[in-house]
Amino acid sequence: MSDIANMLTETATRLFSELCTKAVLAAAETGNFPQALWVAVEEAGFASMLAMEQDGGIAASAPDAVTLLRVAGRFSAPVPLAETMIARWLLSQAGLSAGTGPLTIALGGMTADGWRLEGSGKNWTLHGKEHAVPWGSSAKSVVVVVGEGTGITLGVVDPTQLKTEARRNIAGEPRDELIANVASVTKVAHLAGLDHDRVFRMAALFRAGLIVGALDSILELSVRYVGERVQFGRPLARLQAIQQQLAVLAGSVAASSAITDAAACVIEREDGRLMIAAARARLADAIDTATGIAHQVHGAMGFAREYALHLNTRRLWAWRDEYGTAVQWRERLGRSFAGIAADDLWPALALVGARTETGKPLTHETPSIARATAV
Amino acid sequence: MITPQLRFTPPELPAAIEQLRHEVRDFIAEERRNGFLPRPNHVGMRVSFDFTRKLAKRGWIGMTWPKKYGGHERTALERYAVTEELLAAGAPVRAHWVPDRQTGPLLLKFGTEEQKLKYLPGIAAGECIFSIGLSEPGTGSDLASLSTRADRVEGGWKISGTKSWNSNSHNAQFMIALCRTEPPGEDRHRGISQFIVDLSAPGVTIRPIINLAGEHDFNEVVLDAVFVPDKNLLGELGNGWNQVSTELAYERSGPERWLSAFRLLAELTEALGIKASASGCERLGQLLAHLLTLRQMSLSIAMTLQTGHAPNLEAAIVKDLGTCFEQDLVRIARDLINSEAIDIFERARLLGEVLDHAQLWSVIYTVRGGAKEIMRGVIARGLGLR
Ligand SMILES: Cc1cc2nc3c(=O)[nH]c(=O)nc-3n(C[C@H](O)[C@H](O)[C@H](O)COP(=O)(O)OP(=O)(O)OC[C@H]3O[C@@H](n4cnc5c(N)ncnc54)[C@H](O)[C@@H]3O)c2cc1C
Repeated sequence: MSDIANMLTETATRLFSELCTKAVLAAAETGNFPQALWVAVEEAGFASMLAMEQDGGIAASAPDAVTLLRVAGRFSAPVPLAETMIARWLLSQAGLSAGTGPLTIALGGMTADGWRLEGSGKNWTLHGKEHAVPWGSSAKSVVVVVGEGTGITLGVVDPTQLKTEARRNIAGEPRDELIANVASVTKVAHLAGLDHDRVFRMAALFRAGLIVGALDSILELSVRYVGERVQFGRPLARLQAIQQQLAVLAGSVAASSAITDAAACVIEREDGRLMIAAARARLADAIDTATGIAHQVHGAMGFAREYALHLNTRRLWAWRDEYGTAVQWRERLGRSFAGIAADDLWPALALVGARTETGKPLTHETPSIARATAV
Repeated sequence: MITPQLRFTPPELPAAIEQLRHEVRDFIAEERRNGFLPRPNHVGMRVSFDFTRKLAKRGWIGMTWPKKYGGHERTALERYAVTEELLAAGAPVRAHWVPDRQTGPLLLKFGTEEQKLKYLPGIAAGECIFSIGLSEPGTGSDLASLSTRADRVEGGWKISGTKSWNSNSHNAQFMIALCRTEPPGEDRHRGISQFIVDLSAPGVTIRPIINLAGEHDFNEVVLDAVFVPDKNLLGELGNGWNQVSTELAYERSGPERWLSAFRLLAELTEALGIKASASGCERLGQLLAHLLTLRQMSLSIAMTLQTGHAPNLEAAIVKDLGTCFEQDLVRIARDLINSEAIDIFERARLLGEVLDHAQLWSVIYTVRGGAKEIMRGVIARGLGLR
């Protein structure tokens, strides 16, 4: 890990372990926004991390952001950290001020068909709707991202301008429905250098970071629990059947960690499309395997609201299909390769996520390879 | 927090590696064009001495070894790239695979100067083939229970016992046999030693064991009072257990654990065509996601090997995930062929043949090279559970 990554992990672990208490998490589920936690997150500079220096950030890299989100995911931090990080990154790119306070993003789905911005000059209106926008009605502003050919247009909207319906995912996190009939937009900016897919990939990657953190946590909880729980006169950990289960759990966690870190390194590149698809598809299978095993080895205890396991597992079940469902990611990946000639498949796959020390992207010399990375 | 070994750091590869990959691809394409290397109708690797010698000529065997032993002093990552390319093409690399992968490094690490000079150049030239003599009729996963004995005699050792499931021994000149040199004491792992056995020596009988697929791939090797001179002791007397652990890390950490059935994936992907249904693409994508993940993990291990560290835990994880993935691949491929109505009797005939072959071999992926349960035991130890 880089020095920044080590430092981030340390600082974030201290902060989240102290402030993401059971009480805070339970209160968040009943609608009490954890103000003290949010203030600490702001003070640590986490939420602005991706913004440029003049906007209070450090222009952090995607891998560093993922490092931070792993910790947030591990402690189930009940705040829109990932969303605010992306919103402030976009606003900073567009030269718009973000101020403080939690923000959210509304991307209109993988194919960007949720929203329309209409108008010109200073008069813009927003039309469309989106289910399940994280903290959609409680965020200070919603940054709506509309895809436009090679560029994107950002619309900053005050949630009070929207029709909102409060909803929650199965982890009790706010996932509100937002509807704009003719909502007025506070600010609009066009960003020529980013496309919608790039923003969506980033959001998907950030969920992956949270997921890996939560997976780390359920492995840790499971290892600890089977070491302490005694049955048949010895700790469960001594039973081979249990050891084998935990080995499978650890394999899922290791795989998730590896593909997420690798995807983070190339998220900005063309093949980032395929690496994030691979990561999110792989993570979905890991979540299914890992949550099943973690609950099995915990027996009834894991089903108790009082015990911490569900804080992670309920989030994992929800996050699995947020910012692209497992089905969508798998299909995108498969569609990109289906029909490639047998002897061309490996050369095409070998380019995906490959990094060289020169930093130059690898060339796509055969048509089918170019196809796979461009679809 | 997650134990550090469960973190596989994604490596950055030297740009020269890409060049090397293209050299291997060009070579394979040329062999395909010239009819020497037909597009495979099977999974796994076949034996071709001719192909092995061609690879040796290009410097792709013994790549990392010192030049004075016939090697080419290239990096572990370069070797890794070549192995990936050869496996993905389904190239017939069986003959030299084991000596290149594990006998050579074992000799380099533990062998005497005389042994290195005697065997390594031949291996690198694709002429000298070794097989692995670990398993016995009574000894599989529990390797320390072995009963093949080496007894001291004038000028050397006399070895008696039976080695089983020996891949490729019928094509090999030598076997590295793991033997008891002292009766098992309190620590069963002591008193075990490795010897280089000349398979043409008197007292050696090699019997084929035909496998489920009807192929002669492995053998039973009976050693009946076979004389082995002192100079054929490999490494330190009594240190065989540690040496074998090193050897097994080489055996388990390579890309063959998730690329051995790659031809099935390749033929399947082609046959699905660009008009594949949404659910067909979804199943394919799920497989590709696992493969791309395993590759990142393997690359990270290759990087670790380069630094000289033996990644036993990491290798066990990749072997377990990789072999389970390949079994899933066979199951999913069969269903996809049916659900997408792929015509494996005419248009995609090769796919049908590869599928049948993969079906026969896939049962053993999670056994050979260390059974799945044993791998999981290694992982559990890494988690501190045992
Ligand atoms: C194709 C092929 C090629 C091979 N080539 C070689 C070769 O070249 N040289 C060589 O020496 N060997 C070779 N082998 C042998 C291979 O190493 C063994 O098959 C393997 O180590 C397992 O041993 P076994 O088959 O005796 O199974 P066993 O050890 O009898 O195991 C049978 C089953 O019991 C399980 N089991 C065993 N012990 C435990 C335990 N403690 N806890 C839980 N479950 C357990 C195993 O996981 C397995 O599922 C080859 C095998 C195959 C299939």
